[in-house]
Amino acid sequence: MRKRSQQAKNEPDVLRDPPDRTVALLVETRDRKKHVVACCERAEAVGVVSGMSLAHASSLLIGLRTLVLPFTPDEDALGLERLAVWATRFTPVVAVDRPDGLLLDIAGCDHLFGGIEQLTQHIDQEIKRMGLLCRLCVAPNFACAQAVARYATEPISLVDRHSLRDVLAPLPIEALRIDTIACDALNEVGVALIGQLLRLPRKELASRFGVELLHRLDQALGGEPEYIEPITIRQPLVVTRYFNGPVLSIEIVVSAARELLESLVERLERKGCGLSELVIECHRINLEPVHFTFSLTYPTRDPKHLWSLIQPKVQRIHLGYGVEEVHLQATYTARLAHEQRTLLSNLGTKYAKADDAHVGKLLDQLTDRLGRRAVSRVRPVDSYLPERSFQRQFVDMLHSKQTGDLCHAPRPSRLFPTPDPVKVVTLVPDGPPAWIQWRGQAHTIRSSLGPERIGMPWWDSDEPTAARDYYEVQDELGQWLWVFREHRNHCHTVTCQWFVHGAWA
Amino acid sequence: MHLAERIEAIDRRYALPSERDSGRYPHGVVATGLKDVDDALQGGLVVGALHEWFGITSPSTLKTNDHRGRFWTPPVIPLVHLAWRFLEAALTPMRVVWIEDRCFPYPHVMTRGSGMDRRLLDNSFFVSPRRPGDRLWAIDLSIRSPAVGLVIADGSSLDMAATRRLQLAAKSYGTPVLIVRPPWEQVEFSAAQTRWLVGWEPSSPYAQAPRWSVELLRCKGVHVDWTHHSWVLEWNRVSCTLNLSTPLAYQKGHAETIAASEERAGRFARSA
Repeated sequence: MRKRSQQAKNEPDVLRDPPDRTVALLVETRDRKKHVVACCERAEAVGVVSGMSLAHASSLLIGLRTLVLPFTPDEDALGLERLAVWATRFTPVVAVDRPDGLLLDIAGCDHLFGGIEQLTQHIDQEIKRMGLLCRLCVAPNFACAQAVARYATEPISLVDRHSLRDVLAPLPIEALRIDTIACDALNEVGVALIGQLLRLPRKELASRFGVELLHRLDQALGGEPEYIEPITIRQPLVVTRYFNGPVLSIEIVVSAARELLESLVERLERKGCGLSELVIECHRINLEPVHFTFSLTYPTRDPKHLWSLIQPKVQRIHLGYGVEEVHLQATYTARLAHEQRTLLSNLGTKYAKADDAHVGKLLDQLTDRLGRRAVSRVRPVDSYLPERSFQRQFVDMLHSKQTGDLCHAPRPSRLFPTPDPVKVVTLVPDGPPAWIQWRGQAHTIRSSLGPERIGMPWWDSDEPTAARDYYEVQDELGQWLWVFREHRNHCHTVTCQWFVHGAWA
Repeated sequence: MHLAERIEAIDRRYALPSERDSGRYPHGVVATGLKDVDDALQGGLVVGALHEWFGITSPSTLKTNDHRGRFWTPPVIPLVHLAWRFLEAALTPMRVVWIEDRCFPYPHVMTRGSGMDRRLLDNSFFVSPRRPGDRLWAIDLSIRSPAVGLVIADGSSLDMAATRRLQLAAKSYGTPVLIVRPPWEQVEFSAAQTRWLVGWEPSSPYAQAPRWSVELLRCKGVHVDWTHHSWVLEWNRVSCTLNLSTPLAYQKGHAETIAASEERAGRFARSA
């Protein structure tokens, strides 16, 4: 099958039509210094390059109005994904080539637009209309298209199957997407262009620079296939009710939302899915739409439970000048296990199974009122430090199976969030406490066990040689406390301080 | 209507109110695993009921009238022990809901068998309400959930109406509720089924293990022998279990304890 690919490279252009004297820079902070990550063409023209410090770049841009914006790679990735979804109007097979490219398999689609040239021109115009700069390349394979689009000088390139070698020859070897070690090794021997590489014997290349180089070279020349991962567009389930004119009665809006929910649940039943996230949106006249998002702990399609979450929110909607539309959208769904309908329900097992649905309902109601960080579970984490031995997992991470091993040493029943500093009297140096003053009260120590030494992790501690000696001490009332003496080596001076970290109660 | 749905509707109509607790806790009571305590309770703790546990504080704090900002420690280890008992007595899977940070135990004591048995930890949810009103609502909601087999919550400053509401909900839904309260709230009225007071107890010199005295202050519906309503419990650090402390020999103050118990028994008899 004839396969053609096309790549659009969108440059970071923060201003759609900036004035002549304005330049734009994207910066990020590394090692407490701001560095330029990307810049516009005007800045490039005066010598600004990626990786340069902001101070250096500013010195080159004197006299120009500089627009400095933070570099946000996550937002850029989302924008690229949105652009990929937009590009599915040209071909159903579109893949994202991070950080700034798209791969389109246009085999069999070009004739719908009048040919390859017309299709390329059309894509170029549409992308420019969005205010983005792009370089396009149509080539017989993706590797060649990526190399030419990124490293050729022409904004639009059409590469024929028979001219692959000629087109690739003047490009730098970095265009083959090989690692920097191989690039440096080739540059050391004076091979900077793909044409020079093509003249070298293949056997020598593999033994000296690795098999990966040949693999990439063959991909660019069409000798090896390259597979891409196309994006999949999921159409969210949406049910909508359009009113015949603006509605000013909350009862009608509530009733419409109820009917929409039942309709949505019916559609979910047919698909065998449950809701993981639901969005309800009301469009009002001359006002911003009101929308509420309900994130569910476990997927469900129980209308009673869903309505118990939705109803309080819908009843408090400010209608403004009237509501015209109500939408219910299942933004995230998950497949539910099939439920066997039984003829005779067993009284013993009917309520017996504390299944995920019941837990999900409880957690949804709790988080709906208290917030998503108000409900948690606890998982052990591999750490000897008592305060780091367990991790709270909030409802977003409830399905995580991550767990660790527990320390076998005795631990108190209550651990204070932060250790309380105490005044201590010891009978012997480096011995257990004989008297402590904690929370304003004096405690005479009746007996003690320990110490148990716990070293601070040197890799994430400011004090490289800090350690704690834990003692279990009992006061005259019978109260058992968990106290520790912390040793800190600071500039060859050892300092000690006592804390109460927990208690048995 | 399908035949299955019709039969289900008939089931619903004639379902017994105590259906849930008969499914999860078949006997209606759960033994505490402490023989003398179970004998006094005539079997164990009632399942569909509210049980109050008063925490521990220093004697000087109890003497003052203004308790604002005073420290008290909830009896976490007895609660963990009871949570294990309910978990093991339940015939079906259940979740334990812990409400309010104050009563959350350090998770290490919720495991047994050198950390290998984590059933209690895996089946526990921890809820941190921000306002006192939310706390009562969260307790009530958890009681009503079919997935929950035990609710453990901070019951500080709950009034009579609130405890009555929780007691009725616990009875209706067959879910046991354990709440912890500061010791100075013993004077408050409450609708709880049982009330317990926990205090520190010096360890035995032969076994340096934490010990507590547990006193039964109230037990509705059961004729309690008020001369023997206080016990000493001992925590085994290694196995993470709570047991009755074995009286090894005559100890100093034993006679005074007996005298105090008899005096309390007489006071209860007079009030009755």
